[in-house]
Amino acid sequence: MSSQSVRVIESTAYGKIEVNDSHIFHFPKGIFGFDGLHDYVMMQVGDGPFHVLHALDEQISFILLPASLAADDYGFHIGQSVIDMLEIARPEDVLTYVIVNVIDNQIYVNLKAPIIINTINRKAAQHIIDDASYPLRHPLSIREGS
Amino acid sequence: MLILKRKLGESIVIDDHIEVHVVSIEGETVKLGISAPQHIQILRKELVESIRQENRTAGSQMLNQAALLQLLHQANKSTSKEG
Repeated sequence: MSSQSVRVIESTAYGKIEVNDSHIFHFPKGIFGFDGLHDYVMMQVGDGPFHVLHALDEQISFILLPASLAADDYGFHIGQSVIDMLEIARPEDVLTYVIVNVIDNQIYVNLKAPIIINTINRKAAQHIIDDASYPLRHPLSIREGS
Repeated sequence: MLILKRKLGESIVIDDHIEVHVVSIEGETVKLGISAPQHIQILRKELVESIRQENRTAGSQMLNQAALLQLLHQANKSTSKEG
């Protein structure tokens, strides 16, 4: 028996989505450009690496890819402000995703501002990396079948 | 908005622990030195604005997995040609 509540959101992009509380992620500061939206549901697309992050209260959704698949040697220092806001206790509690953007049929990932998730309390944030070597639009090419 | 005049070498203090110092002035360029605790993130506004703009594009897309994989396949082919 589960005491978790299930709600349903109607997405124009993805149809009906059943939302289990355990898949809801809270962004205390929102996502840049959508500062007022704090709660998102995350779901895997098929059995592939992509995930959809869909706002609970508006027709806004992002496609995410685990950062480890997005680029080789992608690493950065998570600032103390993010550690405090997400109440991160251990590095292994953290998952990092990048936002996918498709422009003119080319897939790009945003390495400049990844999504950081604390898997323990499901708090999340978009973190800006102030490092010129990480571009806003990095052309994506991942090995298929891996 | 608060507007203050400061001269070269002068500073302002925000909330006891953030200090903004006018380091140099050359023509239209002002160099600022900022001292703040580690948990305060300081960014150029145009960087933040570019991320907002990129998110607005990315946040209104409706691609399914099949379309993404098709695009990835094309991306792989074009990169292997280059290599």
